Amino acid sequence: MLDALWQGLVLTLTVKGIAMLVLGVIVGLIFGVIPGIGGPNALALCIPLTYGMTPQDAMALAGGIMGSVSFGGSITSILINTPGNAPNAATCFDGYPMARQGRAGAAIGAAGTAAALGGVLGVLLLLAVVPIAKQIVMSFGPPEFFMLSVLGLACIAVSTGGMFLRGLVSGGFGLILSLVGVDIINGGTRFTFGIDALYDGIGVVPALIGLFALAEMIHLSIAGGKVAREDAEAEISGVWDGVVETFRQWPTVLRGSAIGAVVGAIPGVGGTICGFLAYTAAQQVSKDPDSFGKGNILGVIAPESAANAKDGGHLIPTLAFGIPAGAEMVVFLGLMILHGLEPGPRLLIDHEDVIFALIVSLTIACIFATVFGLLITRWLALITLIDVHILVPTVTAISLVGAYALEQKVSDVVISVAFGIVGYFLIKFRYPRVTMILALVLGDLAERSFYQSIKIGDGTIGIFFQRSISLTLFVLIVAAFLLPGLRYLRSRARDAK
Amino acid sequence: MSNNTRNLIVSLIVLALALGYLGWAESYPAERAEVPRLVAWVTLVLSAIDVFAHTRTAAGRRTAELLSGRAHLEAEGDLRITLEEWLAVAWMGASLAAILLGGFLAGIFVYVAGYMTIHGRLSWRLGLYVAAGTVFSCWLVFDELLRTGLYRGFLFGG
Repeated sequence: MLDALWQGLVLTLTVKGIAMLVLGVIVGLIFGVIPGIGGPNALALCIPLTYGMTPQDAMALAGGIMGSVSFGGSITSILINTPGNAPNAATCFDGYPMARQGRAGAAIGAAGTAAALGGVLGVLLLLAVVPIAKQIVMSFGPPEFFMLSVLGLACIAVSTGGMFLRGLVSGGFGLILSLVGVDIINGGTRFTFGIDALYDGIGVVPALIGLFALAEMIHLSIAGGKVAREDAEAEISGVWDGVVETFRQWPTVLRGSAIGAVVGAIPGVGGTICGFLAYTAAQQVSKDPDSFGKGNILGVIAPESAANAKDGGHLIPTLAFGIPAGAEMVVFLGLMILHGLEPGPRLLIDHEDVIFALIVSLTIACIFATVFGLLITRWLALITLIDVHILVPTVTAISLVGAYALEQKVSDVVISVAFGIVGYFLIKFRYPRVTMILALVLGDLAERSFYQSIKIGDGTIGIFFQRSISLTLFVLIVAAFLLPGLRYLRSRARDAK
Repeated sequence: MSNNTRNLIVSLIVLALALGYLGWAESYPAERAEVPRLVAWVTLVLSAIDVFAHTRTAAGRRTAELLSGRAHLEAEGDLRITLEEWLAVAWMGASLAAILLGGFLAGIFVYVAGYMTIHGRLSWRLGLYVAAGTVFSCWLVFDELLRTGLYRGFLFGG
């Protein structure tokens, strides 16, 4: 493993690799600061920039974004009580009161340091798990791949917060769209309406850009005004006090990071809950729980360390099994596919160097984002005061060029806009977009492994239940489907009390 | 029209789409239709449950609660599609039309400047500056650095 880690370090620490990392950190901070745009959209927008890059450089860019977006999000949580990203929501509870008390600098310093430490600890957990995961994935065959695809969809649907059924419907339509184009098994084309541009199927990247970036732009365009609803606090001082205090409160950092990394590794749980769990844990062990919500710095340190540690945790199921743990990881899977890195168990075996390059990038990004972010905090906060009527057309224009640039097909621009409009109505009518895009990503793998499994099983589906791993995955799928029902019963029991 | 009725209509449209897809999948030879047919049936059944969950019956409401995992369903925002929403969608369509006609560089310039001055009611001077900056950035990154060869547009022989 040390060899692979060294190789990852060498691949990342090139002039181009470092440049990509720095670019990723800047983009991540900027997009983190803008509420509602967040990690998945930042990644989706940057995918076109990676077209001409090596997979290692692309991973450096992605690592930079993932490592920094959470800290960017904490800045608006503290300054304007609006989380830049959902995982930063818990930071508002004490970060904003601190800002109102004139301690915004200390809160930002603490958030940045906690995010850096949490990110590094999360990556260490990922490093520890990779060798074990490799052993497990060697025993995977087509039935397991198929079951994994279904499990990934079920887990993401469960995590959509009360939208399980529509999440599955949306996933069904994602699978339908993934079947457009040439039939990979039997040849011939399907569902193309006779349009030549659809013979190669619907590209994941144009669909991603549409569903995430463009749909969000339509949403912002309707909202109007400025991104921030209140003026950002003008004075930011005392940053260093926050940095020092975070190191003093190392048990809180460790606890928050452990919660973030472990909970983040569970597919479908999502990053938001990590921050809230860490916040609650910090409050429960505190000698002065009543001070939480009134500007206690521990209420910033705990959720921020968890919010960044979750990235390491998120990457475990994504890299080892091809099951993305959240929306950001779904987009990240799209980026990997673009660079020939097929998601799923073989990834750790065939592309170990690239994976370690990503791990190295993520580690460096966590630290660099904090140092750089703390230096430019004041200017970053101003981004939230930009009129959306400037933001929307510029981001839309760049997104559309990005959608075109991959294959240089104008049809991809049309697909992006179509997905953008569909994406907006999916948001409005509460059909989760993330299950649709995940199904589009996994559709090819699911269909191929389904056919292979049926062939192995002599035309019967018994093969899915004869192998222990496949059967275990099936049980997990059933458990995922039962989860909303169990939650409902628990919720009713609580009401009855 | 209530939110519930609007939701029901949306669910029915989705059900109709799933049904249409199933019919289309059935038109292919058996070996090419195997997976599409399976996906279509699963989507159809899920869509039908969604329709049922949005009916105003006690069983429908119970189904919706059970599948949302919550004993009380969250109140939804207004599901009416407003003029502002149609306008935002139309501007997205306008960006596509501008690019298809004038290519990326001219199309983006017109779209950004038009959106900012007409829709955003910002000053035309600011609109021109931002539009020029966006076009320059796109040209520099995609045309010059990435050698993409940006589409020139229908009007310019693209």
